[in-house]
Amino acid sequence: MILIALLIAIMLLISYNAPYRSTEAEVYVQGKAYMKIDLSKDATYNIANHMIVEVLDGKIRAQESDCPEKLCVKQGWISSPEVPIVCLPNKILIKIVGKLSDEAMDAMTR
Amino acid sequence: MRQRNPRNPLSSSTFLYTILALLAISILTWLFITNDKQEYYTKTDYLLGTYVTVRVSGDKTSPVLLANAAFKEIERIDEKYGNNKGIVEELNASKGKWIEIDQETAFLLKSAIEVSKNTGGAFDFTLYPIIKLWGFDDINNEKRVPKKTEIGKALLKVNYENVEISPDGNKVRLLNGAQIDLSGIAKGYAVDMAIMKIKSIDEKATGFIDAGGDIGIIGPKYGNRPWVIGIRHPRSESADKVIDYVYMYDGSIATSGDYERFFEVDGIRYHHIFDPATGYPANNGVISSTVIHKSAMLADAYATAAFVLGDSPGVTFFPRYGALAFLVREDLSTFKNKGFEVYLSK
Repeated sequence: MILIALLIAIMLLISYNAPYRSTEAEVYVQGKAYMKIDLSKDATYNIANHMIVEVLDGKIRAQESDCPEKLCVKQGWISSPEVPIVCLPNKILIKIVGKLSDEAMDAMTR
Repeated sequence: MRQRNPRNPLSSSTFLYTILALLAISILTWLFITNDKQEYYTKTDYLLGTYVTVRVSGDKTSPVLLANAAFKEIERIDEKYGNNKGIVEELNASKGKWIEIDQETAFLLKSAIEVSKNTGGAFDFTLYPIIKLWGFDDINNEKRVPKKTEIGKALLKVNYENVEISPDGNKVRLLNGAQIDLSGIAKGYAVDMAIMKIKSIDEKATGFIDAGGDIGIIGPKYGNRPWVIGIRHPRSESADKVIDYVYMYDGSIATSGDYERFFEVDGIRYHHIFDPATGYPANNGVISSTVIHKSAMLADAYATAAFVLGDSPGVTFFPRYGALAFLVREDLSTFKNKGFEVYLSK
């Protein structure tokens, strides 16, 4: 009985916890973890003096970048883990973790 | 009547606990076994001038080993066929002389020529002089709108028929000052070859490889479910907005869009997909084209061709070459080849 109760408790805990897990974005510079960004807080961040990143309503975007083509800025907002913001010249990668906003999608062709 | 012995191992409460314990162990074991099989390992790296992701699960091999083997193969192809290095650099500097090539290069060039022929030249891997003129050959170069005369002069060199392969397939030469750029098909080719590599190590491996939006399926998700691929919405403030979903068990998908790389002058958008007929960014009514094909290399090449052909009858012939196209027009209406719709539902 204790075992069953324990199992049920664990399952409840997992399912209860999931939607409330805080949403974060991980930032990598040159392939190395640089910082984590809390997406529940509207703010702007400076990434390695190359990029200004803006967080608004759980979405994140590259607001400014010193790279030549500014493809990362043109990408716009992201809010799902399947599509990262990528700046190739500066090798900056911003990836959302901790939440699968759109569980249906595995990858995106673009 | 026998009195129940409380020490009897078969006493009801001990029995119940034993059963429960066994049940718990078997559930945990089962979870462990199934979890192990369903474990997907994801590895990412900057290669082929883009961001490459390999997500893989092995049947009898470690997914880490499979992903590493895939990346090794992609690196090899990136080294061999990247711009400004290897055989591409050698050919572009050859001034029309015959250059010896290996079987792999011959296969790649022949594949490129075949797509060019099949699409009436809408796909052309000799556009390099035009691409260079506009500054799209290097991410760090300044982009500019060239003069009409400059474009006219560069266009004289553009024609896939200027690439001549010797009958034995061992040599190639570029006529009339032609210069090639294999980046358009090398990316997809690397995906194809990396999948082949994984399958040669573990035939029943599953997963997918995503090279900057060129996606090749290794095998169905968990062995029996389709991978859900979103097609990017071509006009959205968000990079992750989807215009439609496709469900893929195998094969490849690639997309060309005017939103990928572009610059603006006086409010006019100049993107990176050029029309070999004009030397200007293709402007034939289509803003995004997606193609499903068995091969990622051909999916990418036909997607480029579909973008250039635009809203014309040319694309209706694609299924003949194993390519299924999904086009988005300027007004966001869509065109689909017959057969594409089977990928739009699970």
